[in-house]
Order: sequence, then structure tokens, then C-alpha cells
Amino acid sequence: MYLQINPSSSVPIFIQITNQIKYSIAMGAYRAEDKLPSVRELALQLRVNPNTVVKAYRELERESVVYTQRGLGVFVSEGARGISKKERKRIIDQQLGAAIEEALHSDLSPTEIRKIVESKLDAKRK
Amino acid sequence: MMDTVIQTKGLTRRFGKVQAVDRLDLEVPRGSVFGFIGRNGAGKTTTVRMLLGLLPMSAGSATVLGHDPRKQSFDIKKRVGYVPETHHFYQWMTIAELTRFTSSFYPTWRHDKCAELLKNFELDPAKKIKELSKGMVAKVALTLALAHDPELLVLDEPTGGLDVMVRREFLESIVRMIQEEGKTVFLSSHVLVDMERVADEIAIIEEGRLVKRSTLEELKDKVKKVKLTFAGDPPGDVQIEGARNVDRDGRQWVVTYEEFSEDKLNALRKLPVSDAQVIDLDLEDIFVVLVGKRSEP
Repeated sequence: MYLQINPSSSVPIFIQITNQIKYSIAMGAYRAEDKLPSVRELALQLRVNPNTVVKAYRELERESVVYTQRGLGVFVSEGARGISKKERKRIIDQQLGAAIEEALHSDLSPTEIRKIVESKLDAKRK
Repeated sequence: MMDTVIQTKGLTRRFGKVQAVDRLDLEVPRGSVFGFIGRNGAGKTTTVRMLLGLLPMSAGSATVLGHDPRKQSFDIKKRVGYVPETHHFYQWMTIAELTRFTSSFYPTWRHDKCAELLKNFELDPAKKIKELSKGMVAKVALTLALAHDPELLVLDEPTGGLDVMVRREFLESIVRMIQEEGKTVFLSSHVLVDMERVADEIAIIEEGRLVKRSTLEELKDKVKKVKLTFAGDPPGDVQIEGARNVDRDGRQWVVTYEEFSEDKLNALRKLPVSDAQVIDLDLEDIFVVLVGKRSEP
């Protein structure tokens, strides 16, 4: 599993881990019943405190994205992809919301903002 | 009951008239990576040396793994792995000779673990200490500190002046160590990027005094700046409740909080401002805020 951690970010490391795992699942890199790396492996790979990885897995479990099979490891749940996709949508909704908020604060009109969004989408379509 | 590995009460050390460590109260929970941070000369090394019984205390008390450093320094040294800031190895010894020599002081020494560490660190046992680079010497020191399977690893500025690769290896060793049940790492450093990855508890020391003790997460949550932009000329004499610092630069002010909250942000938004932007801080910024001077009462 490839994850990129930014320790200086104000987003707690365990949230960075959960977000990226959910992203991997939403993109289909990890599917239902796939095994996630062990706490030990992931902590060493990212060089972070193992307690942080435990916390991330616990959070994913609470959200039903993964489940733990005692002695065997942590696995992606059935339905994790749906949850992860919904989560991605929520994050993007939030980010666009923040960008729009900032645009309004910068005295851009709604028409101007719409124009920016449209031109970005058009550029992608080509 | 919380299991405490290191506890100090009013720990003090004077050098002449200088209070190098001033009434320090610390509690290091078992199983944590405890980050002890401060500037050069803040009293970190003096504290560590007192904890290990290498330096007498002027006042106060301490226990390390249940032992009193004043009377039981020997018991502490047996159970603690210690990597000091500077290393004083016999230059003429080979790594193999040095590890054999060191092993004789430790009843719990594990030759298999020692060999494994040397291999992982790519250290050639036949090499003499004087032939080693600075990074290699540091890795030898870490090997010696870990090979007797200590319960507590104490690192005092272990990676000062070392390259990225060696720092990485130190970090990996810390992560490996802490995964073993009941092991604790006390990491004194001013390399805050590394600290940010592994520490769960943070203590900040300045001029011998404890200025902050908190979890890393809580620090990042509480210490914040808010950038204010005023719509017109800012009010002349406005009191900002609970601020630690206010930098006034024309229409743009930066307010620094040690204990930020949504309530405080809402109070700022009631000022005649066009924008109030919360700025998140990394550990380095937080450190500068907490050891820097206050401008507000």
C-alpha cells in the first residue's frame, strides 16, 4: 500500500492515513476482503508511531470500512467502496465549498465563479 | 492505573548561580514515545544526565523504572539504553571489540540481536571506530543501546548533524522498539520534523523550566493563529480576549492563541473585519509560539 504522510500538516496523521486508505478503496486499488498491511508493517513503512496506525484502523473499523479478524489481520469490508465513495464526495463537497467561500470573500461574483468552474470542466473534457 | 516509567518532582540542577534545570515535574507513561524538546542550552541534556545518575541533582527527586538515580544509578543503567549526544568510544577498538567490551557490563546482552542490528545498519564489525563516519558512529551507539534489550531507550539529540538516511534508520529503530510490549522511548531533540512523526507526548523546556506538557495532537488542535483583515482602519485600542500575541501590521493582524477555540474565533468575527482566516501550525511553529515572548497580557 502506498501512502504519503505529511507530518507537518495540521491534519492528524491518523486522519491522513484513514483518508488515503478510503481513497485507495474508492479508486478500486483495494477491494472487499483484501487484507490491509499489519500495524507493524505500516508503522515501519511510514515511520510513524504504531499507536497512530492502530488509531487509524480503529477509526476505519468504526466506520465499517474494514473489519478485524482476530489473529488474521485487518480486511476491507463488503460495502467499503460505497462508504469510501460517499466519503470522497463529502470531502470534495467541502473543498469546493471552501474554494467558493474564498472566491466570494475575494469579491468575485457568482457569474465569475461559475465561469471558472465551467472552463475547468471544459478543459478536462477535451 | 497509569504506569509511569520516569517521574520527576521539583527536579533542579544549579551550576553556580545558573538554574540549568528548575523545579521540573515530568511524568513519562510506559509505552509512549515521549518528545522532550527545547533549544540548545534549555536544560535537556542536564535533565537526561540526572535521570541516569550521571550528574547529581541539586534539589527535588526522580524515579526511573522505579529506581532512584541518586542511589541506584547502576540498576538504571542496566535497564536503559542510552544514546548520548556525543560519543566517547576507544578509537583504536574495532566494532566487534567494542560490542564485546560493552556486552560484559550487561547481564541481559543479546549477541544475536547485536549481530542483527549491525547487519541492518550495514556496519562491518572488523572496522575500527576511528575509521567510521559520524553517521556510522551514531549507529554503533544505537546498536550498543539496543542490544541489551532495554525497557527504556533514552536518546539525547541522537541525530544532530546526521544525514537523512541515518535519521531514517533511527526513526525506524524507534518505531520497532515501541512495537514491543511495554517499551518506552524518551527522545530529546530539536529536530522537530522527526519528532512530529513518532512522538505521542510532548514536553517543552525553556531555561530549565517546563513550559508545556501535552499530547502532540492536542498541541496541534489548540495552538493556532488567526489572520484578520480589517475592512477599514482597525480600531485603536481593542482588547483581544485570550490571545498570546497580536501582530499589528496596518489592516492585517495576526492573532496567536495558546488555547484556541471556536468561541474565540467567533469573537474575532464580531470585529469590523472582512476576513478571519485560521492558520494551522506545525510543531516547529508551535514551538516558536510557546517559547517566544508574549505581547498580550
